[in-house]
Amino acid sequence: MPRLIVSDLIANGRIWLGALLIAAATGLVGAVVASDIETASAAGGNDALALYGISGTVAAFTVVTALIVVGAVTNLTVTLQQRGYALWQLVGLRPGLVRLVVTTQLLVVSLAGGLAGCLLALPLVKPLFRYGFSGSPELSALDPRLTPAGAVPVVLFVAVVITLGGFRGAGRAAHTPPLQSLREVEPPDRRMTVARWIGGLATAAVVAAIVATLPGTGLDTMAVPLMLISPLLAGVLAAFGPLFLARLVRAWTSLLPATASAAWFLARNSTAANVGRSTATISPLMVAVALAGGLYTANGAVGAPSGTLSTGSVVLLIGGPLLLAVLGAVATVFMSSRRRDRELALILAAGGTPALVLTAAAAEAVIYVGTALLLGAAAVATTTLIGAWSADMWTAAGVVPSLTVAALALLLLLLATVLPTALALRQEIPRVLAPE
Amino acid sequence: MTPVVEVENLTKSFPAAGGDTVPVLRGISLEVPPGQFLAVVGPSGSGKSTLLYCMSALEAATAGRVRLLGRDTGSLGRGAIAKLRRDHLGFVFQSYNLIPSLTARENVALPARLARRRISGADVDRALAEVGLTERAGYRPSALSGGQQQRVAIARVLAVRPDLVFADEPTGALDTESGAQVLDLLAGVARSGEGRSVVMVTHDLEAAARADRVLVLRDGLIHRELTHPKADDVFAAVAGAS
Repeated sequence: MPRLIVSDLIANGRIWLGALLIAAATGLVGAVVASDIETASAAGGNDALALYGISGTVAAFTVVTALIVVGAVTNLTVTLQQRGYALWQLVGLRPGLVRLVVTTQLLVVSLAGGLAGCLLALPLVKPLFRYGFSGSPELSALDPRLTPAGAVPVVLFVAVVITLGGFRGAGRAAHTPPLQSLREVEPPDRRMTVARWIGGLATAAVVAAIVATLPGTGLDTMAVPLMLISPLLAGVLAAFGPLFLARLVRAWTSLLPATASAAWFLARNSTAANVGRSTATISPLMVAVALAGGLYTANGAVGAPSGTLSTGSVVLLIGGPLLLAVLGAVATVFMSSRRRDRELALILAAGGTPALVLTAAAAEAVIYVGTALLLGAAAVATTTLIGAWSADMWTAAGVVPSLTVAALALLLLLLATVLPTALALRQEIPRVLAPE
Repeated sequence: MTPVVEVENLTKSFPAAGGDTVPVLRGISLEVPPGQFLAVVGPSGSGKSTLLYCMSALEAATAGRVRLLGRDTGSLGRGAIAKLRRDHLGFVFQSYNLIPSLTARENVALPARLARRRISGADVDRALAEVGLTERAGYRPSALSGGQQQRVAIARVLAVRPDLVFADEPTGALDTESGAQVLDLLAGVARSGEGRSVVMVTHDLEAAARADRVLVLRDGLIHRELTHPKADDVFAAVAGAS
């Protein structure tokens, strides 16, 4: 079994590398949060109280983001390899053993990634702490620390989230009839599960509870609960995504008629038909938009001018989760790019030009970001409404940050879709279309 | 009649370990006239698939010349080759012929869409009807059997009426009945009287015997050439090449 675990990790390197990258990013972001908490614990007094409060908010952002991003990446990791798992069963591996191998792989990758993330955080903790708290002389004077006592829970968190996140997918892969998996070139569409219903409804209940407390809250303390609403709503939308995502993609992308552009036609069909793949990319992007827009909306709703949020404090509060979300989206595109190779070979054989194939790849990035922007903006708009209701203040402070994050994400996603496509264009079509 | 394909002294080599090259085609010359159903057979490794890919400009030749409809493919850029494929060629591969995210109907209409040519819904439906898949027009490939997928790929060819169809082991993954249906459809393309040609690579010698002309390859060279052969003739020729 160890040989199978290792050889499969190498054979599907592109997929597992994406999972490892996200595990490392989660470890890195988690380690920075753990460092703040450790520093607070060592400092004591009022400094500790202030630092605990800020760390708690950052930890909440990080946990919500990590659950969505890591869940999406882990599920994709397993579903992309479903065909391979079917072949394992056909050569005699029992479904239970398939599940064990996949779960062990997830555990190995998550532990390695979590540890690497903590190690990467070591040289970054001090400069980030100084930068993040540059507006607070008392706190920036503290000596930030990250010891094994702080790092171990982070590594365990990464391992638990990834392994549990993939456990269900591994079970599903192990119990899918092999012949069905072999016939499906693409993984089956993602469907609603009991866990999604429970997760979505529970998160909605948390949002409702936060909203219920707002009317009695003073403006000086309202910003923190308000800024949690947007990412939590993004979590609700991510959980219920399978119910509406394909229809949403088809609806808004139909604004450009199918006859107007073959590239757009191909991209919108690919995105809407492969809901599992698309959800994995759109959900993290939606969180990124909701984080940035929600933070500024909450700040604006309590009457603070947008200038009061220094770059340092924005980086401190949402820098890590934002990084994780955007990296997650890019990683999912990178992981599934091999699936696109066959499609683009077929398009070329049917007479599509390389320029059309590249345009379709770019259009796919636009559709991912556009959909994420729509959903993220819905979360931010809801926060605006709640802010107006509870603080009697209308604000449009979330618009520019949401658009800025979407624009940055689009740049990165364009790189992630167009570059692998350009590389794939160098392959001979017969090699790509040859039976496996 | 001007041949639709002219191959002159075609050579193709692939890089091997240690910086060497392995020759797969060693100087093949042939012509395919309009309206001919040509089958290429031979033992594994004889170079038959490579010949088809080079003839169809899916793969570049190492040396020699391939003319498709009078145009030297070696002198064409990627855009011009794409246009040539779009306007004049059709392909049926052994598997993975269809875009998974598109329905059967959308897959059939794809080449016309890529060429920005108008294709009516009636033309698409007629092509699907010809392959007996009217009922499956709205299905995605994952909901179709292997044989049905191949028939959709042929419907795509029927809908756009290319001058030349290249088929690489089109019955390789099919049962006998589905394979026979696919061969009937391919033969129908060549015998439509519209001057359209079909070049098919196959390891199925009975399938090859349905062609007008059969080339038997061995070690990258044409070993035998048969015209309107019987299955036994093809068996004997391939046995002689093994």
